[in-house]
Amino acid sequence: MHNTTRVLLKDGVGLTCVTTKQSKTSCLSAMFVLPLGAEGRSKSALLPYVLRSSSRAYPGRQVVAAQLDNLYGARLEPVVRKRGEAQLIGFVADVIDERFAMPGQGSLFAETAQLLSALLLDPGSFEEQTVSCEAEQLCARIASLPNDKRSWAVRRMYQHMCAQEAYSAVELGDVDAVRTISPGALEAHYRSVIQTAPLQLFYCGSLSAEDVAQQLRQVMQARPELKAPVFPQYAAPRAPQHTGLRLVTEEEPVAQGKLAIGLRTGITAFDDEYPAMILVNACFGGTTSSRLFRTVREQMSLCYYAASQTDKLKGVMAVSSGIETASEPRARAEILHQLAEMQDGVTVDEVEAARRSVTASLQAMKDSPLALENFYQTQAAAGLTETLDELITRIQMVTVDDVTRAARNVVPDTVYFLKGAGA
Amino acid sequence: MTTISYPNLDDCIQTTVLENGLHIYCIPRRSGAKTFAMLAVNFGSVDCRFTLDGTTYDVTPGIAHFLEHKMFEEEDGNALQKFTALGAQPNAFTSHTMTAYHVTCTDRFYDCLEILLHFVTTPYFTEQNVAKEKGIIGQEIGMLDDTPNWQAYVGVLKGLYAVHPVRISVAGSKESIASIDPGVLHVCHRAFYSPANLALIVCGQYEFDRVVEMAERMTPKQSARIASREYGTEPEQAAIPYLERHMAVSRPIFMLGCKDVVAEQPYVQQLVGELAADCVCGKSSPLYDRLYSEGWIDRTFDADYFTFPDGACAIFSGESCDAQAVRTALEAEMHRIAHGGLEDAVFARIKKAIYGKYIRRTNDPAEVCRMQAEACFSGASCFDFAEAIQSITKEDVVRRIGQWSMDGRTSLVVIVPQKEDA
Repeated sequence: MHNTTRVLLKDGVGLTCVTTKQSKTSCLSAMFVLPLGAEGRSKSALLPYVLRSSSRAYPGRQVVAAQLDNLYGARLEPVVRKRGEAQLIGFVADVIDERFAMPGQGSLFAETAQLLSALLLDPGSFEEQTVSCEAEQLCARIASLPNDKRSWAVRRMYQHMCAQEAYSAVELGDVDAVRTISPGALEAHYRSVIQTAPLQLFYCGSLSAEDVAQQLRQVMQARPELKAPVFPQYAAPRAPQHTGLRLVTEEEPVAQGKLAIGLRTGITAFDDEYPAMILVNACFGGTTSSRLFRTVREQMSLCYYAASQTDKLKGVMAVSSGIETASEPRARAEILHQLAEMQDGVTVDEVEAARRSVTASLQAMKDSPLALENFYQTQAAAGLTETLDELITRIQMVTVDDVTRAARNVVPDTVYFLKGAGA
Repeated sequence: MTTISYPNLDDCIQTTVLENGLHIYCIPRRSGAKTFAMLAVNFGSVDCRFTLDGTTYDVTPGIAHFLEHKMFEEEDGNALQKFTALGAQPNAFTSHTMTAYHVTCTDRFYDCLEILLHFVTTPYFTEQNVAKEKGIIGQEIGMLDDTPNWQAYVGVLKGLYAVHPVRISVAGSKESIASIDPGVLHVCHRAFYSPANLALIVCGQYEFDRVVEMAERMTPKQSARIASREYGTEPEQAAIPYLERHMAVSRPIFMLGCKDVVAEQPYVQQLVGELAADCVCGKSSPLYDRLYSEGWIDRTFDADYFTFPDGACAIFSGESCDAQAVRTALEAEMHRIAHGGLEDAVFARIKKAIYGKYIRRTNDPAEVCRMQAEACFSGASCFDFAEAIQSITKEDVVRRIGQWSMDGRTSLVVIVPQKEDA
């Protein structure tokens, strides 16, 4: 059983509730939705980390950690996400279901919700020591983004491709800005966030939507009324902002080069063509039966991975592959060649395989509260109300011609190569 | 069929052993969306010295992983593509201790099961397809060479172990896989891929009898003799106390390994070890709070425990600008706890948290299958954790930490940022 309900708890506080009887855990998350291009981006990124240690009722990291142990190792993690041109900040919690707790424990969900609310909505004053410690930690996280070369190459590619768009901003903030944040400035920013940013809640677990809504309405009472709410805008230019393919090469002392090709699809989750674009991505480089996997990896033996991924709110796609520096021209040519072939027409077989694969992945998300959290909080941030089942239904209706047509929308924009300079 | 019920965990295992020795474990999840099937082979990278029919073989530790890649190749195509054509998601992994092939599907489960059982038990190696795979695996190794956390992990095992093959990376190196040919792959398949050395594990929606019937039909009628393995004689001390490596990282990454004695009951020792590591420096421990406040460690810090045939160790890892200071603090804390410093309240709540962590792991069918594969190869069941955790005493935990705190048992690896002019 799997029921999805959307509830408006109060002005500016939405709740998505997935009730499922089988899950052994429940998940609760709370996210403020902010424009990624806003001036306070670095302060926003720091907020959840500082809030986690600044609650009046649970002051300090160790008090929070001990409470989480008592809730059977529940997790409550600060989260900062980039979704299209929105920045989401808040907490994701998960805790085991009530039926596995020892008698006399009290309600695990109620206690988790209460803890989350205490951290998010009832901080004491921010202490100098906490702010500077968390700012240092955040700077270290920003500085370590390049450690994962695969995701770093894709990030660098988008920074070049979308240099003039809010999309190029780093959701974790900028080191120089983070370093200079004072406790006073952060408190002022916090007050502005809780008064202007929509708050989205998500729950997945065994409780009914009515029950959850009632409990959350109570614990979220501390949230002030929204004043002059600010909503992120989602811009998705359909064509490159320049003529011709842009080529960028950067060097790092690594053994393996990383190729990242950025493409504009111009099709987002707001569009009717979105389900067709999902299948374009799956046929192109989304699965192990995709064109990129079969040619660049299996036939040409050039790489371990060659995959494509879209951002459903930005209308862009990234192809990434780890290759020898000398193989770059061959890999790039083959990737672009496969796209051109798809634009001449995709086959029934590949579309059917892609449809089965995508449908199965979406179905399988229902078994994972955290996967559902990610999906529904992204929907909520963008104001999309489509459920997982509705999306699956739309994917069943896509025709082969729809896929070819959607593929023709895809325009290569930027080729980025992170070249190994011998390690 | 035997059914073992775990009413407190809301789960059960249906199990049987076929005449050819294949163990089958099925865990029903009637209302789930997906079904997950895993065929696990009790053969990992550490199994690189073995005796089969009187002949002793020394193969490269990368062979188990190479074999994993090659098994997908079939005479009439590639099993990966057969799965994805059905809309299923196949994958495989090789660890130090096992090789596992698995598939996730939301329908056509029996078609998937048939493909899985067939390709894992049917080798098809040619000079050409083996040569091709060296290009792909070479790139996978290149990727691992650039992954700082993986390099730290490989480094710490090399620092702890002088003899045991766990000291060599699971995938091997580009050089060590160069000599692999179809002949040696066939030897390993014959030595370890017999039904008696495999476990078929299913979690989701299935009919038990149909799973058994298909396994009987698709696997060899008889098991060959399974090779006997050897891991050498390992000293109690860590091999190398300190190692460092320069890589393209923004700040140093460290791993501190603590060598433990060989487990008599690996399943239970794994739980005790995890609990003990959290008591030393888990997220709610006094030491973690102190190191975090002082800025020595950050949210990347992790405490873990690892058991494998003929060995076990605790590993503390993270990023730090002063890994030596973290080492000193961790060693002092282990010493303090070993000498009676573990507070009852800390022990009690961390024990509760470990129980919750294991409950959470059993939520995901894929994770349940992996847990069962690990458990069954060490003679336990994946749901034994509840009872086992219940019976762990503070003394059990202190005894483990006492081992780690003995002189010369630790090894520190630091991945140091590459200098600009290097």
